[in-house]
Amino acid sequence: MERIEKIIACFKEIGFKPKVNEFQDRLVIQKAVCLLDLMGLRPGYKFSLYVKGPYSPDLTKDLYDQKEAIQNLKSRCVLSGTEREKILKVYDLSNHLEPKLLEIMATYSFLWKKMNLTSKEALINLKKLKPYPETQIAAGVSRAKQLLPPTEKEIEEMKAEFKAWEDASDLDARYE
Amino acid sequence: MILRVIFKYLCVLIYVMDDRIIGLVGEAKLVNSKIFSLPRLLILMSLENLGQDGATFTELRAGLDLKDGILHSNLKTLKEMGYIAERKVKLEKKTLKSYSMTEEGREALLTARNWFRKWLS
Repeated sequence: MERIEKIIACFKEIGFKPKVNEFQDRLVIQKAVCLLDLMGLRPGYKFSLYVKGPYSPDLTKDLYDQKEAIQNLKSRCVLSGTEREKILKVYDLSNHLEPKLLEIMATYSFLWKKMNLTSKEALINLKKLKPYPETQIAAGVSRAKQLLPPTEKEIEEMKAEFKAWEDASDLDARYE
Repeated sequence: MILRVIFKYLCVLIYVMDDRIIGLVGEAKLVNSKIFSLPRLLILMSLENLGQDGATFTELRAGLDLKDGILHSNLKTLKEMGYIAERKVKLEKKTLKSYSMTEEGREALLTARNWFRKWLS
């Protein structure tokens, strides 16, 4: 009950009143909670990678078990200032919980941060799992990176990854 | 003397193995042979932990890397067998087909998995 109360408090903060019976709302909850978990909110749900992308069967179980509390936003949990900031950031960057954008953001972030893939590998796997148009993928990945800024190590990896391109571009510029 | 002991040991081993093989053959009757195709096993295993939410056709196609025709025909067979259920769901105003595992499907997968385990051991 405690862990779902934290999630309800997050939804209360952004004024999202989910309907548990609706597929789209359950998808939004799964992906938003996954992102909050990756941002360090630690709601206590274990996410694994399935054909749907990151998903927590325990969270689905709680959604049905606590359906009334969720739909009426009943929660005794009080969020801290940082927790409030985190949910507001997810809400803003996902264009107010747009399902497909959330799917891309959560899947990419999960592959990148939880499964420890490089940003390039995460992108390749994301495109396999979520074959959405390139523009949607690019928007989702960019939002995910704003949500979870890369670590120093990841920045170094990215620099190494783009070095060949930068060198080629320098060479081009020299001959222009 | 040593040879006699080895011979006795082998006889016991063959007897025990025979018994186990007969047992396995007997248990095989409980397993629905229609389940033994790679796409069907992949579909059932993918849906196993997704409960009522299940997965959409697009998610299964992308996640399992199966061609449209293969996925479609195997989903149809599993549906006819009563192992999966199909329903329509809405996502961003589009209607999609979603598939979830039935209790019958869960039991069939468990039986097949247990039989495989015994066979391999």
